[in-house]
Amino acid sequence: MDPSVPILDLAAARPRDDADQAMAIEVDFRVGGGELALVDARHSLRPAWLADLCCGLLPLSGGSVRFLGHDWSAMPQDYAAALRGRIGRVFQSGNWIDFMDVATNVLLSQLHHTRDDPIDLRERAIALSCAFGCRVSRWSAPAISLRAIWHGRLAFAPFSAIPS
Amino acid sequence: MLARIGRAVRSHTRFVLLLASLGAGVVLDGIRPTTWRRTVRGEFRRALRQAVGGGLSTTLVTAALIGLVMVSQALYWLGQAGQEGLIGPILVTVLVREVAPVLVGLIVMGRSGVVIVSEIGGLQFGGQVHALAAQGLDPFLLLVLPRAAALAIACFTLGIVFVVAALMTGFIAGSLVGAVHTPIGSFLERVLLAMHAEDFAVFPAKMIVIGLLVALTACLTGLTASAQDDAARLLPRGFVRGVVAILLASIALSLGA
Repeated sequence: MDPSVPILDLAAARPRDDADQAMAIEVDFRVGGGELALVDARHSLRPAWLADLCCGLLPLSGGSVRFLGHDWSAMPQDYAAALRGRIGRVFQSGNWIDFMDVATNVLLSQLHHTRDDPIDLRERAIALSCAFGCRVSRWSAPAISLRAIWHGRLAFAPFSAIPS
Repeated sequence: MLARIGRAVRSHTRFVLLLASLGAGVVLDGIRPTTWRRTVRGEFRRALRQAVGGGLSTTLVTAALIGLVMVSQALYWLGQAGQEGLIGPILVTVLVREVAPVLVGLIVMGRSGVVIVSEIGGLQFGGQVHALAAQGLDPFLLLVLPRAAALAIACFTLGIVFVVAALMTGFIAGSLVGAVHTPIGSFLERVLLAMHAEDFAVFPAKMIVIGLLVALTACLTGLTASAQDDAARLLPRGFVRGVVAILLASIALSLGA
């Protein structure tokens, strides 16, 4: 990928949100490779709203949102879905699907969007989890059994798909 | 008053239209090989295991009771009336075409449909459905399609098990009370010979359509749950919708045959 292309580029992006006028604002920022953007969101709904905007989940009434140089609104649906699978997003709630096991929960987007060997995926996730100080030993346990411990912490797996 | 009537009509019409579009989506996406990724296949296997494994014992017990009550009684009274020749047509018309699809549909609804309402409703409340979409995982592909396919297959499988078990139990019970004087092979042959070509189409069609409808009503009830809905409201709603769908599908396919 061209290093001059920003990872995320929001240019006067204005979501089409008729229901909530408080959210009807223009967002304008860009994040390049290796940069960190810290957003101070004071409205309780703003973090999820902004993340949805960055992931191309909100239809726009103006402006554009580009991820890795691609405009979300101009992308085919399957391509956009595969690209979203590479984003390591931590949700305030809804990270875990209780009836799936831990491994499937951690690797779900990778298992869905790639054809990589599950063992390789798991090894990469284990290496990353160790690097973050989270040792996962019960991969085949039902997710509900570890929910309280790991809630919101296992969001590193999607990063394993991005080449270093 | 007018607004209240309109709201109810719109709500029910919306549900039926959503159900039809989901059904069309399941059929169209189900035949595309690219749909069946390993995550979708994993959910399909889990749903199929849950539906067949969870419903098998209940199906066998219900089939045994129906065999005792209906099949053996039919054998006994038709024998008493000297109308043994009607055994085949009566069992095919009543047991195979009408009773088996409805009872198996209700079993699948109770054992699997309610579980689906609870699971998907929980995911909707908990924000997991939104989280899946944000990770590029289509909730329809991952949650709805594998369950619909699994319940259609499970319903058909359990329907066959139900009919065979009911016939066998009825035959054994009829033999024990001295109402049957023919060997088992001859009895089963009579039933098979009484089946017309359309019976071989109506029975599988009913089982598959009922399985699909149970899954789709359950998934849709879970996915359309609002913030005010809790399990106490959601589960009965899903169950009633499933039962109505089973009865309507059974009647429509019987009348259409």
